[in-house]
Amino acid sequence: MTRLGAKLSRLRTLLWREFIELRRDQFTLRILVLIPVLQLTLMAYAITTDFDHLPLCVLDRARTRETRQLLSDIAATGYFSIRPLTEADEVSLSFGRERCRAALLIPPDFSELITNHKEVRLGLLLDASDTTLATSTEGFLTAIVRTFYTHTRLERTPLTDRNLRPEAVGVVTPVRRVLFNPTLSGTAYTLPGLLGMICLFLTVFITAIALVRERETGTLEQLLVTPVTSTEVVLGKILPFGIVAMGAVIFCIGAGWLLFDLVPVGSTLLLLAVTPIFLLIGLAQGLLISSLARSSVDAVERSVLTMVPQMMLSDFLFPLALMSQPFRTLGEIFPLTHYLRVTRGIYLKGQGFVELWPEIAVLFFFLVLFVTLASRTIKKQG
Amino acid sequence: MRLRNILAVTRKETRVMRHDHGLVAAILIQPILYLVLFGMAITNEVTNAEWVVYDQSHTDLSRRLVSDLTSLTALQEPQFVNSEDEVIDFLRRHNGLAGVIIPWNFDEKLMRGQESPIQMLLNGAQTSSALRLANYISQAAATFSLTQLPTRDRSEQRVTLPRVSLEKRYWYNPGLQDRFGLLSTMPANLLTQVCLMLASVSLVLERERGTFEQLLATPLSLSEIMLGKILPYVGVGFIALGMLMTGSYLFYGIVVKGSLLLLLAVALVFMLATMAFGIFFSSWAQNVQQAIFLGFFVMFPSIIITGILVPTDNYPAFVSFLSHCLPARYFAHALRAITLKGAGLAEVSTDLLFLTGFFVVSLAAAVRVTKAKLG
Repeated sequence: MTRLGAKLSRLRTLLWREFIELRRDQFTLRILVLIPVLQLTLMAYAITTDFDHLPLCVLDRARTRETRQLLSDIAATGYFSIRPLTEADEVSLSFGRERCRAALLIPPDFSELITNHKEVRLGLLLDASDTTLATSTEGFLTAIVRTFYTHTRLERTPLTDRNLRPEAVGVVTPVRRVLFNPTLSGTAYTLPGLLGMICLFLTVFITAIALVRERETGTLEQLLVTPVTSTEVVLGKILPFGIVAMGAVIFCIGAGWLLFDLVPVGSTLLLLAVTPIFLLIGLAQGLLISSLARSSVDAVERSVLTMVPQMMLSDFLFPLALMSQPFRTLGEIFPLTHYLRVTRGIYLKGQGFVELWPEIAVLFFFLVLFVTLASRTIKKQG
Repeated sequence: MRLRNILAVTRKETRVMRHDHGLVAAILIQPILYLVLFGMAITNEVTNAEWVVYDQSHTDLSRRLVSDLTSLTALQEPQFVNSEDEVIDFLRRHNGLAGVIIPWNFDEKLMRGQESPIQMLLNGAQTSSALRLANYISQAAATFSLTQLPTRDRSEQRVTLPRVSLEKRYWYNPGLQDRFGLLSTMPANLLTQVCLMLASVSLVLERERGTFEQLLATPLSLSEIMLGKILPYVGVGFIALGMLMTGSYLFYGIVVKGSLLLLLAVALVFMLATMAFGIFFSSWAQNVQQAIFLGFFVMFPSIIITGILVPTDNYPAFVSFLSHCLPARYFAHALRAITLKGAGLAEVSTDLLFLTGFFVVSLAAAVRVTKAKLG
């Protein structure tokens, strides 16, 4: 047998051993499978910026035909469900008990002001302890209220079609045109991000812990006594996790298609080609952590410390575009940021290799960097 | 159950923990990390966003529109481009959020008292931030229409059309600062991680090393052992909590409106509940690796669907149900209520009740399961 042939056959034996072990460890196997499923489900359903039937407390001090019309207009949009209040003191109680997160106050002279063609001011109290909710509520109510007098009934329309009928005077009307995600679906935004996160978790976290475990239980030393070289041991250990992670990615892409009707606008093949690069980066990082960590728990903490800033500053949950310059630059340091540009580019913008090659090149650079670092650190440990 | 026994185990555990410098350091770095990330970096405000303008009309009025849009929305100065393709390119390659196109007949239409549409191209790949920016720009445009447009002889037309407008007041967070909400619930995030993972792992570690059996041979009861192991981590948790809250106060001026004592009491019950929860889950793990993975499996939804990062108001039924099964939800709720709304015992009583219940049930269940497995 040639040397390469011998190497490959040893490697194959090691991989086989890993798979046997994984199969015996039903527990870990189930968890490895369930985690992507869990993440997918939760994030897809939970993280949404749209809302409906949000309770809106209303203190109607006028109680006229016009106010009833206003309230029925608001309710008709389906975004809010009206909770009537009878006196002003109830507002702070309602906020405290969280019966509602917003309160509309209608002054007693509402109809008179309208009849006399004067401006009417409604009070809007918002529970701003959650700013996302407060801003959305404010935005919707402002839109509804502004069109009230022109008797435009605002149906429950998709966000993009919500062009308001303007007043019949010279006004500047912004007309929205949404590129790349015409339905403004929250899931379409989250899924590509989720792919990156699953890759990160299944490579960095799991590999670091599995490898430290190997060292802890002493089976690593046993392996080193065999004719297997240390490189092969390492490769044999990390490749199965890479394969599992790749499986998880394919699963998520499939689930996105079957459950949420999400298909990449661009080339799925490109996505499947770039993903292994990112996976290998994660595996190298996991390897690095495992050689530096002194115990399983230490490895956990180190990987969490690696993953948390990466998750926060990579445009995954929180948009980089809104952060100040120093953090935006910091975000460029993380491989996840670049991988997400690729996944979102392919999924939402239909970008191809021609546009994405800079990001792919950066990923390659990270790959070389981390693999070099990892192999240097491992060699030092003998 | 005797307190003396529990404290004996706690003393032993603390000694073990003191040897593991790395672990404690890693835990205590996290408050600092969160203070920086959530206090400084993460924001939903648009002040730093970049945008472009393609001005086809190049008149005084259009320039005034742009300058008003910039100042009213507190955005950065936009970059000016000369074609629609450049705008689209900005959104596509540069990942910009929005571009505004002002048509060539902008000022003519306005002078004639007609509506003049301007196009806002939004980057749908950055869904929520693009929308937020769009809202800001729309509002600014409306203000521009009402204040800046030149009066005409037929201005009566404008005056006779009344407006209904909203006078907004933000309760609990007058500046509408994102970091208030985020930092107030950060302790839930931090303590969930610390407590869930560590307590469960430490027990399994003990079991693996074989020292657990030695403990069982002593006159200590199982519940005394478990409680004793939990307590040191409560101490670490309080230190981390203290760091987080002090940092929030010193750097971001976040003051706890309600009773600090109440907050600490809820934190204590939460820590006990989460750790008992963690121990219960980990009784199924056969080794440390499994315990860690299981811990993460429970921890991840604890952070995502419990109102720490995203509001829980609009969950479908099954997600809402799951959210109610996690201790972190009640803690996050209590944190926000006490810190930002000045809530008292009455408002958080439900939370306290649930958390206490969690603690008692989890501990009892953990003891039961472990006893069964020991045979």
